[in-house]
Amino acid sequence: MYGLKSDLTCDLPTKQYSISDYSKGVPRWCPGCGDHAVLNNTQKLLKEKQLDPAKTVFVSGIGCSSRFPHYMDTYGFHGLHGRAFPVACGVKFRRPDLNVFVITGDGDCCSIGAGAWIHAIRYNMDLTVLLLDNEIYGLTKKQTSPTSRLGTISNTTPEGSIIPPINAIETTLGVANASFVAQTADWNPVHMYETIKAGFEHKGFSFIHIIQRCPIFQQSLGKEMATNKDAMVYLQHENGIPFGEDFSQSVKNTVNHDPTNLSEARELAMDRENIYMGLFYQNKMAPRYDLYGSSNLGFTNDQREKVLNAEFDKYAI
Amino acid sequence: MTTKEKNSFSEFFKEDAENIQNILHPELNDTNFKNAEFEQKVEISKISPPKEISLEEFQKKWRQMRSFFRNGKNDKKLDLKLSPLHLSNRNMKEFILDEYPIFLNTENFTEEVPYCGSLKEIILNTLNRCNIDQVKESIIFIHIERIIQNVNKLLLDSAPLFFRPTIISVLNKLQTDLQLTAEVLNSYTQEIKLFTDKMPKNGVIIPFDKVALFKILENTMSAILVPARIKLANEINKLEYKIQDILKVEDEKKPSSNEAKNLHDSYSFVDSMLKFDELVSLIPESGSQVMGNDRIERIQTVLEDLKTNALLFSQYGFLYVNDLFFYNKDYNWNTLFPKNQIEVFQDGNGCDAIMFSFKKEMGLWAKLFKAMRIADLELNSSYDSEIHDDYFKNFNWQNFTLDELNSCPKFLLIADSDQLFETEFNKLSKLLSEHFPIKVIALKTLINSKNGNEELLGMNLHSQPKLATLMLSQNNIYINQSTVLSPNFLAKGFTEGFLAFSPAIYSILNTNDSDENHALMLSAAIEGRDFPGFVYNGQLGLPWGSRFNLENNPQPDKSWPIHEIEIINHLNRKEILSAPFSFADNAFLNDDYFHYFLPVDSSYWNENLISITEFMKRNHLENMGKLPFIWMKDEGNNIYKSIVCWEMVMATQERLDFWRFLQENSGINNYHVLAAVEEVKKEMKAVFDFEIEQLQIEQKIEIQKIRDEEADKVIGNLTSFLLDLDFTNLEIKSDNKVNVEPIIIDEVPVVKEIREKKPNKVESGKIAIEAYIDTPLCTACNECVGLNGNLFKYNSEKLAYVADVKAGTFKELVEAAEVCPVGIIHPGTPINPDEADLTQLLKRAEKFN
Repeated sequence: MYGLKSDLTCDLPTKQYSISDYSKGVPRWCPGCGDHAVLNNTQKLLKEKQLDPAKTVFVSGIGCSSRFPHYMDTYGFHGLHGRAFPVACGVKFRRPDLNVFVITGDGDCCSIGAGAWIHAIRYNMDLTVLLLDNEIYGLTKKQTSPTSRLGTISNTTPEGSIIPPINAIETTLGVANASFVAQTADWNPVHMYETIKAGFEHKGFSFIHIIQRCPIFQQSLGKEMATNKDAMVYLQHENGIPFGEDFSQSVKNTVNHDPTNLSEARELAMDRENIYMGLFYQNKMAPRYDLYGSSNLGFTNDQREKVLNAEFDKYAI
Repeated sequence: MTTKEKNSFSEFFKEDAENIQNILHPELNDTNFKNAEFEQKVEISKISPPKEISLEEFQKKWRQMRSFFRNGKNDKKLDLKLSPLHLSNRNMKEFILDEYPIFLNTENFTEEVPYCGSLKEIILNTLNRCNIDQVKESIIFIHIERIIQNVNKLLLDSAPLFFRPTIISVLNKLQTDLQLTAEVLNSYTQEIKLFTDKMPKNGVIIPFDKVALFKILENTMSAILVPARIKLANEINKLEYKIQDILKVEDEKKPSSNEAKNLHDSYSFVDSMLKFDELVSLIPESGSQVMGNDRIERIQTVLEDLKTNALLFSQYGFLYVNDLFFYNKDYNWNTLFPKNQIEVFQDGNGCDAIMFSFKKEMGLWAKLFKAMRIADLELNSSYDSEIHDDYFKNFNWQNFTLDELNSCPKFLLIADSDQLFETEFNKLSKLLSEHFPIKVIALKTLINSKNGNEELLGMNLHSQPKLATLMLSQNNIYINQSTVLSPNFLAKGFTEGFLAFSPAIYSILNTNDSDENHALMLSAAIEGRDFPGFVYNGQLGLPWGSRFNLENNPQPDKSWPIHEIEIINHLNRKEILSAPFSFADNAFLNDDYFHYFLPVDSSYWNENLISITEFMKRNHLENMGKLPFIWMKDEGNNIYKSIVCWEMVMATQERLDFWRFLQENSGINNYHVLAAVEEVKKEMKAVFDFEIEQLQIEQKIEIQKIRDEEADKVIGNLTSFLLDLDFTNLEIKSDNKVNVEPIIIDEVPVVKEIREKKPNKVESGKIAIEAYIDTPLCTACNECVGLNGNLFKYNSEKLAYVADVKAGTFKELVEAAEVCPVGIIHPGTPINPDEADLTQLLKRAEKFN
């Protein structure tokens, strides 16, 4: 009231960003692909938060979804297959001022990158991770992925797959130090937007599993999932993810779930009957490795020299 | 490795580092490189984790702390640069300037546009009247701070600025500053258009400095006087003409006017028809009946008096300014008050001088108003010498109506508060008690050793001279204590006080713009209840409490304003701290009082350190062994608790006592009210308890009664049943069952009927349905847009909508609906009835409509 407020910052924004400030090129994904929806919602989020494109990084691995950084007018890193997490962790470790997003797919994250995935969860660095899971390898023209359902017929399993798929939510919840685990689907743009927003606002490793359709290689499955409103059960809680005004009418089934309850979250994740949408688990108190790593940032050259010399001196005879 | 070798090694490394740097960034020299380095900003204050300390050291520190509390005075100047925790991380000077350029409305003010206020208030007020859908998303709202900052920059070059052109240029500059892209630009230009339509037409922007107060004052005076004077001038003009007419008629009645020449002059238009020489002979020589000489003389004096108004009107006010301010170069009185007469007075003479001048000036105005009233009576021919002569003989300013008084010039005594208190107090009391409508402005500034008031510091700590509250004993006057921080409130106060018949006294804490952070110090003085604002309007009549108003204070219902501050605690977790801002926090902002505080880091904290506000709430027994503290932070945002010594606690207590006095008067936490509420609660409880008891007793009696009756009945029934029992047929029928069944049977058909009717109501309509998309649910998958980019388009959020139905065929609409992965396209009915295969298409479209 009288100038003693503490909620003001001295940084005045120098530019008002619009969606076109974040978009670049024409996405080459097939028409009908869910990646379009994720891209659109991410750009919307950046606009709402007015993030500086020069302070935002999108890191991806290999796959259809991993083309994502090309369509964002921000910094990006289209990396090695399965190595999106190590790159993103490295960026965040030395540049904690950047907003780091990780875009990964079911093959990139759950197959070749599974080792990196597990440790990234445990490091709990402040990353927003979007796992775009279409349950198939689309870029290489239809092979079974680790998340493909039992019986999926593809080029690699012409008789139908015989091994049960990895449940990404269940896996993440099983790793030590998980701090934000949520699930949404590409055909619910309002819910997806709220979920990505909640993930971005969470300080820590926000893992968002986006169930997605592949209109080319999994057409019938996608159509069925997107149109059957009964199949989805929405997690409801005051600390959870709001449905959004436009979307609340199409929510049919809801269940109350407290996102701080880990064991209940695991039970829900293991339920093979229903697909749960919303925030499974959130722990705001989980320790973050990036905070530890950033403690010596901002050293001047002289200071660095001093520290290095002190280290060298340990070996002086 | 020898020392020499080691040195050379570090030298080598240094060179190497520079080489690497030169290779990587040849464009940067060493200093630039350092600046370009990433600096992590810590915006939230944090409590550093306690260090390991031996018990002995801990006890030693505590002994030192206790001794400091008792004896006070920490002579050693602190190494740390501390400030109260409440201050934002922002550079305070910059921040305060952001809040306060002041807007002055120079047109007649309406209720919508405030008369005066901080620029931020005016912008927000205008935005709210703009009918913008979401004000919080508008660009003007988001970047309001930048707008204010830009205005401030302009103010540095020239002041005052005209409001309208300034704002328009700043809004246009914002567009280039923010590099707005085309899609936002449209809505922004729209926004500017709405905003400029609604914003005040005339007004100026002035900087927040020590003369701002007088600019507001001058503006208020003009705003009151100008309309009143215009009204008065009109009335005087009318009266003048009418009175002149009377005299003219009277002139005509004189015998001399009956000469043929005069008649010819008057009736020349009928020259050819009349013979004036003959006409003269017809008029009686005595002429017509004329007025008495007394009356003519009176009317002539009235006319002369009425004509003096032009001279009187040239003065807006008479300012009597203390020589302390008059000769101060910072104030240019003639420019500040161009239409006022300014006199200087020396200590002790002000009240006499202004009273003398008031009587003299008011004598002239009394003459004018007297003339007006007599003129009015004369025009109605109802002047009666017997009654009116006596009344007008003693006519003076006390006979004025409020309207008349308001068009008189204002009499202002501008003096230093302390000086009024010391040398002029007796005469001031006399002046106020005699109810001359003189307005006194007592100015006060915050003092510190830097502005040359070192000797006053000690006295000022223990209590503030309470000039305004002392004047409460003059019951029916207007008293206002405030600061320049809330210009709107101040202007309102001036209007209220100046429009009243009574004297008014304004005790105003003015800002001293040569001090560092002057606005911050001012606001801290108000937050810390060192200079609480209040208004006492003696004219408001009897309910005594209604005369007081404490609105002009932060959180007036609380003892101290409480602020919530986000901090990081010693466990590295975020926490919300609610910390009151007390007088001690305020005092700490003044460098002169540093020795009353002893900062202590988290290693020495324990439960015996309690906040100063808590400390003052408890009695001395509860406070045994406890030490009061206030929150502090250093430049690196590390939090400390600072022990406050006994002397400062007493000073804080004094401020609290005074604040409680004001609160009690204005009915906040009033003892009598609270006691009455308690009393009523007790009474109500007693009444309820009694009623409940009665009901319980009644209920018990009732239950007993029913029990007895039922028991009698049951026993009676049982006996009769047993007596009448026919042992040949043992089937017992329950009466209840028989009663319930028919009801169910009755209800069922009704329900059925409704259910059957429902489907009949829904009829498949044959009306034309428009094609549409549930836009918010669109996944932007490119299917429909790829099919026909003219028929379907994306909006600014990249969500699809039906742009133009005529741009495509119904077939395309149906196909799009079929391929849409989320099924949100509704093709409606075809607009072209001649399209091929319509029946088939309609069938396909059915499930999407």
